[in-house]
Amino acid sequence: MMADEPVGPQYPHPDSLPGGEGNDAGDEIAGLLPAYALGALDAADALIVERALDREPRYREMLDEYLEGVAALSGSHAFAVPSSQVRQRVMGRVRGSVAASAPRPAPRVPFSLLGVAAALAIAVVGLGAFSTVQQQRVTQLQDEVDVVTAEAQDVRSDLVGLSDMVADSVGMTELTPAQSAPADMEPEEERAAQDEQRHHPPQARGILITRPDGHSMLVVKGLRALEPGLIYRAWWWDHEHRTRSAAVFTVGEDGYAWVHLLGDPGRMSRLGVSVESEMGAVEPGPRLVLHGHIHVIDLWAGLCSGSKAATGKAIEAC
Amino acid sequence: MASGENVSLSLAAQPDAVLASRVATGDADSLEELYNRYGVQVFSMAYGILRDYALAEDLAQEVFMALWTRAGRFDAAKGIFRHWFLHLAHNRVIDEVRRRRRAVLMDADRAPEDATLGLVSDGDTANEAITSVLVGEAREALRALPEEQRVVIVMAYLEGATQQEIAQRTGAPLGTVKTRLRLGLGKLRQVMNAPAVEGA
Repeated sequence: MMADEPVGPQYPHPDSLPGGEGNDAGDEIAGLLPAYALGALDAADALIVERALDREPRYREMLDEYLEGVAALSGSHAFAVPSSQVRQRVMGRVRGSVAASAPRPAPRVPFSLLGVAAALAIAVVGLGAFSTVQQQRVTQLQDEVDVVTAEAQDVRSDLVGLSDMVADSVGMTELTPAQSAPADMEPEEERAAQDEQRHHPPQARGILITRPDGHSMLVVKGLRALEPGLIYRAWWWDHEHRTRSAAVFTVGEDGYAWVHLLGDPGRMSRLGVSVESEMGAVEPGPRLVLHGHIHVIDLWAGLCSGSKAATGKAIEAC
Repeated sequence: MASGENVSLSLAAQPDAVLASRVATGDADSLEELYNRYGVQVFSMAYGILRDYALAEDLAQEVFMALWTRAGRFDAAKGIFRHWFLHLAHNRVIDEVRRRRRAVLMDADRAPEDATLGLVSDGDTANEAITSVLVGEAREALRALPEEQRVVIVMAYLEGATQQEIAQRTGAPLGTVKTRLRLGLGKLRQVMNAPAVEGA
């Protein structure tokens, strides 16, 4: 539909669609389009509509007319201005990812070093008055992870706006392929989860980095690129086994992603990553690919004092 | 070589669809130009619906990161960028609305009726919701709809109710809800009579 086309109120009634009347599949799709435009379909129906949109241009044209009404509503909210930090965070992450995608001078370093690099960036921004000895250690570690400096810059950019909040400690939790299903998973969901695991490389890993002020970031590697219409969604489980969405993301061909998470990890017990429809999900589906129990530790207490057990692989570089 | 200022001027003159295609190839400057055009709009929508400034900022950030990774899925031959992008943003916002409502429903310390407090139940509450959230021509256009159409659109747009949930809450058959959504959106577009224009 072009912008200068005449605007008319007439919408094709489902019964008037070519190729069908009454209750055939074509009518059903047309009848779902208004709800799809408003986001009022459940995930299953939304997927049906998306497949039909890929197949039939006429549905796309009809949908665009409905979307015009929704866009009119979306553009009519009372004016509110976000802080400049939103732009800084978005562009910091974007430019960081551009830099990270540039050719690298050396083979990829072990994933554990990525976690250290992210922690370094957080600490460097947040701990301005760090002791001299510790700063020397930070410098040594930064030297070791020069090859991933671009990724670390992404984290620095994200935290510029938070520099007034000094971090006393940083927690790191490793996520591993979801070998065992969550306790509340149904048998058929467990089978689907196992099927998902077979499609994911066993080296898929994630590191959750948390700060005591509630900000957290997830770094993943080794995930496969998903087919169109699907996304990865991170989920929190709280101590009562309730779930909430933490973020959505995709990965490129290299299988990496850096994701800011919504929600306070201090009140959560587990974090997982599942494959979901990009149209949204209110709870995790069966395609769980990464999973880990959250434990918040003091990075600097464990970083170089030999308590590897408490800090996981990411600290082994010490 | 063009100066930075000239590049900015050049981007500002590009239609949305061109910027989106550049974003799909990894052009961060084009994304920033789209942020210039839609950042406030997306944030205003998120804040208007969620009434949480920090959360609205996080969601706006998430929406633009989604644009960065998914711009390649927008096809200018199949639709208008503004529609596609605002649909993406609105879906993310109502995902959050649903998550919050679900959290209330699962909170054992809250009375069951808490989950329905403030939800639209009739034409009057729909009008109250519209008045508190929307402004301008769209608000008046929505108010002008027949009550049954106004109610279902507000339930879907502001509260993230699915068509099945709307049917349950209104007691109307699902087919009737679908018809009301279709007629309501059609009339809204007719009254607004605002031809969609790609960004300058």
